Amino acid sequence: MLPLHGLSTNNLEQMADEEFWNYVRTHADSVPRNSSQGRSYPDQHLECELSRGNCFIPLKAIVEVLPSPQDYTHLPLTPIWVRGLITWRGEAIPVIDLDMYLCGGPLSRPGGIVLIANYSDLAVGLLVPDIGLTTTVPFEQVNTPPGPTVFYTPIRAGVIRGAYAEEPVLDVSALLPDVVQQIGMTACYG
Amino acid sequence: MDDLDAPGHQEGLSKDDLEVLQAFHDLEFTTTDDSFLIETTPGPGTSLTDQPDTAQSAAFLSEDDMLVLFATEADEDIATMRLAVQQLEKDNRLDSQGLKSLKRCAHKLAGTAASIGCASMSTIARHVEAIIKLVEDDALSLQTGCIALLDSLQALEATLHSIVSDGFESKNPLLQIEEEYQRLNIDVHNVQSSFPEKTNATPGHWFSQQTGELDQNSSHLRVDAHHFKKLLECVENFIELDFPLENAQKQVETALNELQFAQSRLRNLEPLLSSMTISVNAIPDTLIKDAGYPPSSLVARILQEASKRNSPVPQVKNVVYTQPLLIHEAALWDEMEIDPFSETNVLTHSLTEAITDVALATTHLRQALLHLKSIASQQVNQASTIHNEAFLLRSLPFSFLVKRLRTAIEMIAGARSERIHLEVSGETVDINQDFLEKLADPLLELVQMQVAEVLFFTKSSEQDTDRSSHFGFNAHSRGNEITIEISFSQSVPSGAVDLLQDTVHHMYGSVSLQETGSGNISLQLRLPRSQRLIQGLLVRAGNQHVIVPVSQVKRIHFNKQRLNRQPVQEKNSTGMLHVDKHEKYHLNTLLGLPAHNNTAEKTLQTALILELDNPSTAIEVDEVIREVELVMKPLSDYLCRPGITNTAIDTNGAVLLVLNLPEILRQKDMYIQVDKTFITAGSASDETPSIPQSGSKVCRKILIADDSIYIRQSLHMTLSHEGYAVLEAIDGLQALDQLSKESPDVLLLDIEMPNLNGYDVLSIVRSHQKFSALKIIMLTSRSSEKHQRRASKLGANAYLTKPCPQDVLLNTIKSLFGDEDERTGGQEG
Repeated sequence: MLPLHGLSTNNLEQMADEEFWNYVRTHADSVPRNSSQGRSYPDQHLECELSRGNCFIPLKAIVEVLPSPQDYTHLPLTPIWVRGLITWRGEAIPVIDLDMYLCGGPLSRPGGIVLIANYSDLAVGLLVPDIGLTTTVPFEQVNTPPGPTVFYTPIRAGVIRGAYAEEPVLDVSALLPDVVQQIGMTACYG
Repeated sequence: MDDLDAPGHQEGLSKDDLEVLQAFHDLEFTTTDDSFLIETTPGPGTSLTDQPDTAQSAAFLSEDDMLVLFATEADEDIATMRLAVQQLEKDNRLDSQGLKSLKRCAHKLAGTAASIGCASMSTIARHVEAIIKLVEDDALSLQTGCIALLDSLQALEATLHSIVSDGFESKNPLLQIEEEYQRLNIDVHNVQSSFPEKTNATPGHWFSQQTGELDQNSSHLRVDAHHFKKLLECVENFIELDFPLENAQKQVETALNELQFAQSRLRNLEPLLSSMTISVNAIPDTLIKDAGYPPSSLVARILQEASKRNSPVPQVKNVVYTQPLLIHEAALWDEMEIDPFSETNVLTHSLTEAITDVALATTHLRQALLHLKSIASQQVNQASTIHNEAFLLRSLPFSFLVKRLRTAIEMIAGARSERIHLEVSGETVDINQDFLEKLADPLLELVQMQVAEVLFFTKSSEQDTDRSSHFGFNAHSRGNEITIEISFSQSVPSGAVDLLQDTVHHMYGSVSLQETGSGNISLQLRLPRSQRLIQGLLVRAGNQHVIVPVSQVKRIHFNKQRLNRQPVQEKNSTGMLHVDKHEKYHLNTLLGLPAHNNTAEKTLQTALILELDNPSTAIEVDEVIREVELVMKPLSDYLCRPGITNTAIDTNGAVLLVLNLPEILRQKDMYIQVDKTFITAGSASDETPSIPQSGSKVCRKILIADDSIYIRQSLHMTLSHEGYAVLEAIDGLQALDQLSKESPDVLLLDIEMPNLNGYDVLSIVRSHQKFSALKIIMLTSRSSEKHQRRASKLGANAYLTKPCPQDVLLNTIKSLFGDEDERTGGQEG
């Protein structure tokens, strides 16, 4: 998933062995050791395919990508978009159906991919139907969101940072606290 | 109670009665829980500022009122103390009733004065306590003590006078009395009082120390020396396993290397073998004759000749492998005048050797793994032993709690303590310290209630009988469970189960009532041994597995009758079934899981009969799989649900919810309600709200949600005056919290608030069916039509702007209930 820095696979094939290994060594050093830090690529975003279009999620917020488990542990008194609990690094964390959370649509079909997003020690699994490539999304090119669209309901406007290439860019620093707050509130207020 | 304190009244009581009362007063200072029977009704002897809920009283009592109340009370206390000192002088002995009375009044005054902010009065009262202590310790003669006490009382009176007449507390009397103490050579500052003076310790804390209570805030832990020694031994054994484990790992590594080497040798032969096989396939059949010996090979010819002479043919091993190779090799190498037979032999031999090496290495690896497994198993066992020992380290014998209960009974019953007998068994049973600590308060309260019942509320005719009352405390352990049985010779005090239930349920235990052999009723508390390790039943509800603590289950019920042969069961709106004598719920319904399949195909009906008091409750489940022992992990706060605060992880890494069923049942309305509104979200719901609405309430409850203290107080005063019960919230989140807990009738809602603003709250509240009857009045400084329209659109009932005249506010509230109140006969005021 890492970018090739302008090189195509053909370029790589045409390289001599020594040339290739030198290239690899050079770039191996620049790869962050811990993907969760991702400081080298602050504007790298992962394109996620949702039912109503694609969206971008900052790569630095994603700490792990897992295939969706067959079964989730159902936690009562949770919003409908909470798929359930899974174990991640020995802790029970919620997995939310991102599609449903954003646009209130029907539950996604079985399968999909769980992106473990982490922000301020909050870990939440984001279930998406599929993921695409990583893309550099320069902050200055993120436009103001055009307002609620079919993609997300007005109540979710706060978790959209803006739009890039007409696709919404999610603000994980707003999304995760909102998810946690809503899950917590549901237990109190039904 | 306060009337009984008056000296005049005390004179009318017997010595025994006075001692009992005295003991109660002593206990008054030593009990942390304000729900103790004697203290439930606040009398003049209790400072109003000490009451836990000042919100209501504050609405009716001004500061001046409270000061007058204090002055009256302090005056009475000083008068009582004066009489007591006179009594002390008259008796001229330390065991005088006067001394006890004096001590009690001084302590009470010191506390009350401090709470209302009269520091000088409080200090003088503490000096009185110090002087009494000096007298009791023989550090001061009784005569000098009495002089100092009388002077102190004068100082108290002068200070009180300054408060009443001047409106502030004069410090002069305190300074003067301290000079007087110096003149009398009394050092009141270095006296260690029997009470925790000038510390943050609560009276309850003092009681804890006196009765051996564990200090929860302390970083120290009481440990049993025997358990500690055993734990050390176990840890040493565990460490000793390190070396064998390391060796076993090395053996596995060596065996793995050996296997890898053998595999690589085998792999090296593979290309040669493959090429030979291909070539052989390419050889025409004509080349292969007779027994497969290559005809052109010299060796083959020799062999053929030998064969012709009927001599035995030397066979090589694995002829199946070698035959085609021989042919092939012969065909290839014969032309080069090189004997190919030796090459194939070498290859065959190498192959055989390589295969043998792989087999040998595999055996070695298997043995090494078995050894490693054995060592690992020993280590796991040792770790388990350490865990158990560490658990025992955190435990204390049941006698520790019994000692506190005994002390409490003696303190309450005093001279009449011979009428109360405590029967204890299982004092050596080890119980987790945390559990003991949590149980102590409700049990003490229970004992206090029962002793009070026996001593004060039993009819005199019953008291005359010789039959004494007894308490029985019996503890025993079985497996991973502790049972504490509490029996009474009298009837079980009302509310006893409620008193204990919360505490016990939080420990994943249960409370039940049992009939004893003598016809009495006993309370049975069943608790798990450890807070973290849970002994539970692995239960299936739908396709989900959950854990139900064994200690909460009385028995498992299997109904072997087919459901379709049973009479039709009534199911009410809460999802509850009435079967036999049990209230019955299906676990799927409680957890909001898809409805269970109860068609005719289902032949077994499995239910967990819970350890609850009447009515007995059955939780139907799809399957009870087995009993398990798992380590519990607490859920993050935001994931906690009523009765679901812990999880365990199964062998497949799946999350198992640990259910606290009694707690879930208590909150079942919430679960079932939400099941209807959330789980089936998207479908139109015509359910009626589950929370009872206000029609039947005596007075209406109003919640004020505003971040301005002044506004809240001002509204509080206005509304309280009109007879409304008033609640307050400082922000949107707190407002939602209050709404959920208190179900008010009206919400006065500001817009600009921290956390959630008024619109957020309005939006959330109006999206929930359960709040549909709540009247919401926006009370804000935003006066534009835009805001009014928005509030109206979101579901506000009325919109008022600040500053809002009182009559407008009150009329608006009344108008919202106009029709309802006409029907119920009006309730305001």
